[in-house]
Amino acid sequence: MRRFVWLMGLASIGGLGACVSPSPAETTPSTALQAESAEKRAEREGLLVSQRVIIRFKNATTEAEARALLPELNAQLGCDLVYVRPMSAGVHLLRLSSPLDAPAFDSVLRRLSADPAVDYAEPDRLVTIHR
Amino acid sequence: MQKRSSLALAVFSALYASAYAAPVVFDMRSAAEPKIRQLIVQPARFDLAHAQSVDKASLASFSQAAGIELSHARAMSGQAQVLRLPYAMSASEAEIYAARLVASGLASYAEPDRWVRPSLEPNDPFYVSRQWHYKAIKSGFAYGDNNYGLNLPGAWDVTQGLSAVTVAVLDSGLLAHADIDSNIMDDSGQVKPGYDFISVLVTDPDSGVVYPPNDGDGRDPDPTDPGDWYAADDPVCGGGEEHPSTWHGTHVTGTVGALSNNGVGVSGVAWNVSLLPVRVLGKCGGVNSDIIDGMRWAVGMSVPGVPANAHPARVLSMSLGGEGACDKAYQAAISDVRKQGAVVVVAAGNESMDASKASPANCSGVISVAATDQQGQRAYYSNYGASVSIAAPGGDSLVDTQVYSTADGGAKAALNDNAYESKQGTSMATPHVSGVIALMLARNATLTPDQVLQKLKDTATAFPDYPGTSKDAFFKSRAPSYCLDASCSFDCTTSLCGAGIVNATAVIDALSNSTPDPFSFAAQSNVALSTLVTSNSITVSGINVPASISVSNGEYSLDCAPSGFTSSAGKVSVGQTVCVRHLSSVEPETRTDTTLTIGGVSGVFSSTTLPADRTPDAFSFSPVSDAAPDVPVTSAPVTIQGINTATPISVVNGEYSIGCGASFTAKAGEIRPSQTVCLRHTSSSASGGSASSTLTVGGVSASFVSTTRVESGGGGSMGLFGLLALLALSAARQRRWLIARISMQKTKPESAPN
Repeated sequence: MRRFVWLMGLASIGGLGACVSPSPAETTPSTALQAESAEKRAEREGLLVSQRVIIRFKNATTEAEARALLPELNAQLGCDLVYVRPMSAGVHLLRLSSPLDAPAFDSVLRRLSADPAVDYAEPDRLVTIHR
Repeated sequence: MQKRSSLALAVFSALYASAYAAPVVFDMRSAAEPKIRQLIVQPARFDLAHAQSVDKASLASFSQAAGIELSHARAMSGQAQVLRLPYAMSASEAEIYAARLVASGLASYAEPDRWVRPSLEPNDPFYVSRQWHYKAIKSGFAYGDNNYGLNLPGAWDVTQGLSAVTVAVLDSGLLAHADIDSNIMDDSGQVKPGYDFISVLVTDPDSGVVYPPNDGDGRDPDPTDPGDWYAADDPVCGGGEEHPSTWHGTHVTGTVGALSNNGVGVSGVAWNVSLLPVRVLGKCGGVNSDIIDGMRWAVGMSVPGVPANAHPARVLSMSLGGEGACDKAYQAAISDVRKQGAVVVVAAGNESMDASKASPANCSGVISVAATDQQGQRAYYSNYGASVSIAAPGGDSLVDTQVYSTADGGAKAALNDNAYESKQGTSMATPHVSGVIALMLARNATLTPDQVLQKLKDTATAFPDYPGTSKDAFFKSRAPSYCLDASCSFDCTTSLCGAGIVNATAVIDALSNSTPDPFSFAAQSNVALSTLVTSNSITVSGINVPASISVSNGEYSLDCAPSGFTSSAGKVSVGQTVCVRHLSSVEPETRTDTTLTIGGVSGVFSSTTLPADRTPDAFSFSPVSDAAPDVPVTSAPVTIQGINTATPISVVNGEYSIGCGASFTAKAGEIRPSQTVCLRHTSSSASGGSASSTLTVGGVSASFVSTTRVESGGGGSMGLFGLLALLALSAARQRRWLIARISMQKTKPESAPN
């Protein structure tokens, strides 16, 4: 019955706004967390989920086509979207390499969705079993 | 049986013959149905109707009225008494005694206490003891005394599923379980090779645990559930509370199709269908991107980097979700799998909130399932509202019982101890619906997702209404936080819990199809006249119950048995062959149509006879000599052969008669096959002169010539000639009759089966 709480939007990481500048390479990679407090890590892990974007481009269904679009997209947004993997039906999974807080992430999604090359861009939401 | 009955009748007759109406003597030989041993009788007298027993005097009057000795068995509900018959008898015999009781005025109603054939109840011990959620509906009683089960036994009478129908369970994976399939990785058994779609989000650098897969890696072909436990301080999802592994996927998969009627453990809803484990939920949950890929893969669509699924599913059972909108990517996946013919069944969610806020319950094209309890009310946790399609048993631990299914005893890793467990939730309600849909598809594989939902809605069990129930009182006093609103009502309505509670028996019955696929017969041409012509055979398909069969203007034969042709209506089953036949027309170039109708679908068998033949065989008339002068002379009859239809006939210098009757004509006309014709003309008036007529039938001509006798004078000889002429005429007439009779025999149509 109880649904666990995914710690999305609780963190105060990055008061940067939505990718105002291209993210530098020194941001922490998602799979190599540094030693830190459990609480801090939970916040970070929770955020990592929300940093993933399910995106469908209007004219880029293959991985190569989508990857080719990323540099220009990143330049426009001032973000660092990284290609994760192709999904079924010509959809792509991307990840923001630098963590953003929830409002900033929502802003990125909105700006992506408004891009004429983009069909839709949505968060890779977390789902649970119905306990 | 027959002997004993007769003996009983005889003894009874001896005892009561003087005072009672005659017992009914029945031939018991044909009685294959179970025998009737009792009558249900409502005495007309109020005191008797309500009595706990029936006194001897009343019983005697009942026996006298019925004409058979009745004894009291017991009082029953509804102000009725059960009266025992002296021997087991056919229903039709018992009906006569019952009718006499009503006719006498002693009983308001009286009926044989009929046997009801027990539906298929599996022998799994936990089905008997714990799986109320599958059982027949018991309704109309006070709160607490009902059983709003899925009503499966009647459906199981018809189908327990087909291995060709695959249900994909998108969940936490599956454990090999003795009551499901002991090997979930191979192609044999209930469980087909599934896939683990969970990709790595993060790895805990301290423990090395990969989230959410928890099996050490990302996507792989092994959908085995490694467990989804987490500690109170889990770095990803620990919220201060420890959670043991749920074995959620194993529980819901067992509900869809645990091995059943095997004397072991639990039953499943559709135990002969194929199960496809698609692992999408791991430690701390799963993400849309993995679920979306898993959905498409489950129905046979391609997913980059994943081998194709050899067992495309027709049902996706998804006991998962979260708060939020239905995303476009998610909706696109649902639309895609629906286009493949798959039905998406999702849980409405367990937050006791409006399901419009829960995804994927709020997506379009899904069947979203609310949970009901044993009394048919909304489970306290179940989401509700316009996004809910239908309800199914999910259990309610706060007021009654939960859903029992396959599980594992391991708190963290699996013990593989083939355990069972009670759980509750819309997660549990969902696989009930998925299993019923699998049964439906086993019955009719052509159903579309929309048709499936409509059928479920049309046949659903109506929600009960319990004004001021103890459940409401319970929640008002002890669990007000679960109340929907101030009224704190857990009554389901169609605006809260969907169209009703899924009724498996009703929906399977509604799928009975007696309308076959269209069929047609090959037309035949150049068939002989007036002969029996048999069609090619057609095979009846597309029905799943016997269908009516009838024929017009001909006969049909089931299985095309040569001796089985009949024109009487009957029944035909799927897979049977049918032939029709008819008598071809007596006319050339004429079509005969026979219409066969099966379950309202008709097919026509046509045969067309040979082309017309209007050229007869050659024919001739015997000449007549020694005719009297200037008198009418008639030829011997000639039968016209070699034509098959009415043919022009004409005469020159004379008259003809068809049938050689009294009426002769000179006008052109028509003659039919095998008719006889005679010619007549006036003999020459000249001694030794001749007269000739020419008959033409269909272009073939023959002449009839008469020669007038040579006149030699002498009155005496005239008398002799007159006598001879009379004799000759008499002989000719006899011969003509003989020919006519032979001709008639020949014109009879030949009957020979083709």
